Amino acid sequence: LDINSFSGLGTLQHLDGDTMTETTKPMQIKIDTSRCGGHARCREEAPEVFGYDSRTNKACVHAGADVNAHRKAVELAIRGCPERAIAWSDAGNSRSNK
Amino acid sequence: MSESIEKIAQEFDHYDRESAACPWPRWARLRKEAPVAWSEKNGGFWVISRYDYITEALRDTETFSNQLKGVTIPSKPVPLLPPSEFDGAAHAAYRHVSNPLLSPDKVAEYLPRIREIVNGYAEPLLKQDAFDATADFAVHVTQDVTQLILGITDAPADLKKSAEDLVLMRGDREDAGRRLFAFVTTEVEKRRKSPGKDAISQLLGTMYEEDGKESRPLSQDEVVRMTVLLILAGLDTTTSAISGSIWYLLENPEAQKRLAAADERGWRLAVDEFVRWTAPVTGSARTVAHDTVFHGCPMRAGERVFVMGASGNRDETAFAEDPNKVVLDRFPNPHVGFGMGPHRCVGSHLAKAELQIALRAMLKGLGDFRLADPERIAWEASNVRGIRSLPLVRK
Repeated sequence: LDINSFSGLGTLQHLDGDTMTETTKPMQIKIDTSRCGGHARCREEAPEVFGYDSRTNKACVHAGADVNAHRKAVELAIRGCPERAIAWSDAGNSRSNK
Repeated sequence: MSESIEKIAQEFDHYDRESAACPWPRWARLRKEAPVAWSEKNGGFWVISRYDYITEALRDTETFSNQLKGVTIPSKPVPLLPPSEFDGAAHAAYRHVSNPLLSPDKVAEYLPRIREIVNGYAEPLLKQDAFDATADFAVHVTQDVTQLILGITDAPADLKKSAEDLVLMRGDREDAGRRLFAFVTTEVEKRRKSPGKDAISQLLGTMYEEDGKESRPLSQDEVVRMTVLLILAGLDTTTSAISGSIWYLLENPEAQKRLAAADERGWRLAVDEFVRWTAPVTGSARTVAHDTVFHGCPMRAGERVFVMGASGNRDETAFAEDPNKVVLDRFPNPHVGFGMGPHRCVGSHLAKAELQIALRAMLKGLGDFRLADPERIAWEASNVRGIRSLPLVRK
């Protein structure tokens, strides 16, 4: 993952090579960017939470996004992701871990 | 009574009449009885027809190469087209260049012009007593939008035919390829002299940055080949999606009403469903990079593989509700109409915008029309599949 491509997003932290997590909220979202195919459907479902990096063609989570205020939309984004690349990060066996 | 699966597999041909007019029963037999099959047609190739095998193959770029022989069976008689027909680091570098050209934000900038183009065709046609929804509408819309993106103002009359002959692999493809490359080369040279805001001008100003190599500007030849791909990929496929969706709506007036009343999300879901169901790209070809065994089938390096996404889109094991039916609000809808994995269609956001705008415009008057004659719908199939002619008459 090209870390610089997310440099505009300030508080994002990279936990490992291909996973990034927004760390300031009680519930967190994890995008497996090795799976993400750039469908951008998560951004359509929850634009307040998900962004899209037009160079890497990968989804990202907005810095400071209030995930908990948009739980329903985020749930739709998770269910609707064709690559199953998004998960709540505290969900134990998250769906992005195969 | 029914054909043996051995015969269906050996004689599977994505160019034949059955593939054009009624491919679905054969796909279903393959999925159930031979999800990885060997066909003797077109030089011999593997056919992967099951959804889960398809997504696996599309993601396994180490085993299944785009670059060795391109993404069509047989290969196109033109140089390999980036990014689609490259692998690994080179592919990633080309995608970094092409992704921003058609990103959701970039497409949003084009929306007002796309609406103008669409309405410019739809409004007069809907006042006529008869028109061809493919030849008079979808073809023109996709051609004009492609020219808009590329900044082409004076396309030769035979541009569409050259592109079609190459995509559909018919007629004199070598000549079609030469003419298309000659035209695009002229356009690229024009843009170099007087750049605009179009995609060709953007490519000319872009650096190619491949991991482990020194960054450099894209060469003229690379810009030409990337532009040729943008032309080839967007014309026929989007035309087929628009035409197939209009055909469905004509046959299902209830769906016209539901769609007319749909909210933004309803439209988004419907558009993805139409892409799934019309499946303009039957399959994307790969070449086996090293000897392997794929779900029990021994594949040798160099053998061709047809990864048949259109069949995956009809796989009953992958979709909760009957995949042969259009479910306008199908959700989730993990279709592979744009492919999957690193080579997924770079133009998907543009294609979906075009489809939605085209259908919205057509719905304003489509209820007054019917198919002139269901027997006169002309289908054509190759690596892509779609309607060539869809004549409508006023009820």
